[in-house]
Amino acid sequence: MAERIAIVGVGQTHHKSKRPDVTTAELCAEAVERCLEDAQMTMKDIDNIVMGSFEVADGYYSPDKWIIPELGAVGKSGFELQNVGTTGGVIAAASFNIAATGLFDAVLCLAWQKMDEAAGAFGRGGGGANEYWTGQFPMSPITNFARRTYAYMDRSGCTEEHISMVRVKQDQCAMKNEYAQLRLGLTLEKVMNDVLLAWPIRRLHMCPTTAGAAACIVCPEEKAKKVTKKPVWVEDWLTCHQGGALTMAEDPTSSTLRYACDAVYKRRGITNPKKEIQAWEVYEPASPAELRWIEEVGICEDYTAWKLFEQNKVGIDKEIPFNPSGGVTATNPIGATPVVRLVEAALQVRGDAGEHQIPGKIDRALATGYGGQGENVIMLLKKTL
Amino acid sequence: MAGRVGIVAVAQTKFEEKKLDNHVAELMYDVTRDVMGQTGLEFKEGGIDSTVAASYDLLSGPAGAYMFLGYVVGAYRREDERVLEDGSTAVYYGTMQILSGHCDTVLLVAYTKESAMNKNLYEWVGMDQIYQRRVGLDFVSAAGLQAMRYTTKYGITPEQCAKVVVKARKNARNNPNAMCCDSLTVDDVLRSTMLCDPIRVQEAKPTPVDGACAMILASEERAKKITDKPVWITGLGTCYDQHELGWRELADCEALTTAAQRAYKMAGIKDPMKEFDVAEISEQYSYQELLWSEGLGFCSKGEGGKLIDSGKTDMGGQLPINPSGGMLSGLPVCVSGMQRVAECVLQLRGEGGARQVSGAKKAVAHGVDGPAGQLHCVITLEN
Amino acid sequence: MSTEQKQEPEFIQFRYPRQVTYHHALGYQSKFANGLKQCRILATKCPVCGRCTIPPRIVCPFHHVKQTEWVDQGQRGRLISAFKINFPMFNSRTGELQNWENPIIAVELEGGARMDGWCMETDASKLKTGMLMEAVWRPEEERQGRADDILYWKPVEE
Repeated sequence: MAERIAIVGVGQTHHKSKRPDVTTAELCAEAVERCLEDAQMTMKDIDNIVMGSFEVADGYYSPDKWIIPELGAVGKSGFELQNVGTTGGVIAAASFNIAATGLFDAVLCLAWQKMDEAAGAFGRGGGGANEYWTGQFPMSPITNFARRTYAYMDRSGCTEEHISMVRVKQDQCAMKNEYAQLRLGLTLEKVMNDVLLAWPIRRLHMCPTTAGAAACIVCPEEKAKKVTKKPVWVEDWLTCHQGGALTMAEDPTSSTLRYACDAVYKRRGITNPKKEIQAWEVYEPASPAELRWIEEVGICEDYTAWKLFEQNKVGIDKEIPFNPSGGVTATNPIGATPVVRLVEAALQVRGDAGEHQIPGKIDRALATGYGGQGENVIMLLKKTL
Repeated sequence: MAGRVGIVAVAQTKFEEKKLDNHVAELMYDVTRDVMGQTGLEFKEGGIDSTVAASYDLLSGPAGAYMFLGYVVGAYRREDERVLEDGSTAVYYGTMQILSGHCDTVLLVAYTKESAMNKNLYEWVGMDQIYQRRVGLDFVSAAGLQAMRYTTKYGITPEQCAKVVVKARKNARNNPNAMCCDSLTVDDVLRSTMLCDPIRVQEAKPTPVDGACAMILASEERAKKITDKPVWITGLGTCYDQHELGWRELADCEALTTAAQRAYKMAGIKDPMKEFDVAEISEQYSYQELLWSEGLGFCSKGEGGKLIDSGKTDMGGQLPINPSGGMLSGLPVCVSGMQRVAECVLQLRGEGGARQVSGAKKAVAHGVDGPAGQLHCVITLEN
Repeated sequence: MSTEQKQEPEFIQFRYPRQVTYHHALGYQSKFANGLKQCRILATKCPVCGRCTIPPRIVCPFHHVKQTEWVDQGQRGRLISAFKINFPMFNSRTGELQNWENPIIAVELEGGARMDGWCMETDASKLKTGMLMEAVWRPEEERQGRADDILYWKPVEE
């Protein structure tokens, strides 16, 4: 039975580059405990758990098996999913699907990543690749974004300075988010002079490695209304992958974000996303990506987003409140990041984001997950049904 | 209201020890194209709405292996998700996608090439890294511990366990896709080398095995249009057990009992032994068929040995278990759970060929993941 | 005699190296590997859209039609993009960090397929989009049908 669903509780850990004080299971338990507390529920109330991480990067195989007991969830239904970067997104989508069946009272959505536990796992297999072909190259998000950004700069007239402006704005937002990992007080000069990884990408332009977890609880309508006075309705969701259809050599600009957003907007009757969506938490693995994503989600014309930064129009209390949490360049526990975006978007809708709360009434928020060569998961949240 | 969810097409490869001539993408392609051909559905509007795959990255090789294979199962610009569990969980989740109203048709694909890597190695990695992995525990030794506990507590004899293998291989002779159909006697099994006391080599699932399986699910309305022989999914249940072996009573499979009860409640099944006509369950080791029979409610606790002695689970018996030969005749992990469901579908459509259980109306399929059966998934079906 | 008690670390971490060997079957991609041994670059072609792809794909991702036609892509291509890695990165074949002197380029081959490769010219500023590049192969005794049988691409005078 197709039910309307809402997020009734959220939780995340304070993201750090290393968490030597916890095991992966304890890290997840931290996020889950905070989430249960937020929802004023206990583990007894949860009857399905959808979870996962990019487990190979942490050096694991089916970690859900030893994480479940740590959560006190033995005896519950549940399973694990993974799809590299969009892992958190497919986990969220799965929890939405399961909650929407109406067969369960409360579904826990949990994603984590403990990147201090695997040294250079990305090095193996070239960060996700056709094992035969691309293993000869040190491919990774760094090289992917070097290509993307080069193509973007070539077409748009954007300069290195504009990309660094994006990073400074992201950091300014992160400084107001106690959960973000990198809160550095960056200046334009510092970013522009940072170590060059692969032109034009500098170290500060890229997301960090993070140990963190995030969770949320999704309930069908009737239960949601009983549990909380501030349910965050999940209006729509869409997984839009590529499955290796295009390599970076074939199309360095490939992305399904515009296609996926257009599909969701059409379904929901959104014709002016800039106006009809008031909060954006979009997964940007590198600063220059934010420029392109602002365009692809429909906020401005193609290849003009860099001008918005020049005009200082992007920020928590500015015309375009894009990634008020500081985004992925401040915090990136890969598998968990889309769920972190979802949690941040939900907090914005509820008005609970504290110092990085976007002022004004937030009726709709968009959160995305990103992976691979431009795969996306779209999650659309709403305050009022 | 999505109504019921029906399975409208199934396909599986022949299961072989090492498919050295085939890249894993070819296995995926063959089964995908097979089910698409059976239904006429393509990857576009009004065709297949979503894909749910099941596979393990660590077994495949590169980090993020599925991300680069998704195009074979139509992932380009479409809904595509991958479950990191046994294939039965993909069936569970695919059904949920339709019941949620989000999709009308779902393609499910499970694929595994056990020949890519040493199975014991990745199963060892599956144990928690602090306590159990350090002492060298893997799924084989976990099974050995469970087998020892189970047979000791309830007086299950080695002969009773061996009978499971004899039955499996005998049944497999009727299955053109099966890998091992050699004629074994109880003595043959009991004379084989000890693998992990009390499990002997012939009592363990053959490995490596390569293969793939696919099926298409559809909402009730669409299913009736696509085929005149839809098989309905009537009940679903999964359940997690403890991970640390010392915390579990290994002689009982509580998680399976719970999962089965969840599925039976949904399906309105009260007496599984009487109401089901066929069962396809996942038994990687011989003792597991006896133990899972208890968890699935085919007999009381501790009576698994008596059940196989009674002949009720043989072909021609009251409730044949694994007419296809099951995992003991050679199935890859991960694919096995989905293939169990596929076999039930064939039975309920009357397409079981030489292994057909005549007049089958209701079936139960079972998949398992984790050490000594930590996560169970039960799916009930009827035609 | 020292009476200091040994201070135990508050949190313990341990290293747990493991080595994994994979056995992969190339299957239909074997044709591509054999082509490399003969200094030929073969790509699969979609019968519907005519797009040639490297690495070879069993179906066209856009039309989901089996690609059984193989097209020799020639030895030359036009440079599409180039980037150079300035920072030590992991070599996935050895698992070690190393420096990378040669830029990675994407070329569009005569047959239409696009592929990545190493570039002989180490000065990235000399590389311009549209430059004609030619494949330089390993000597015959070193070619194994592996992706790096093409040693690198070098710019060609037009």
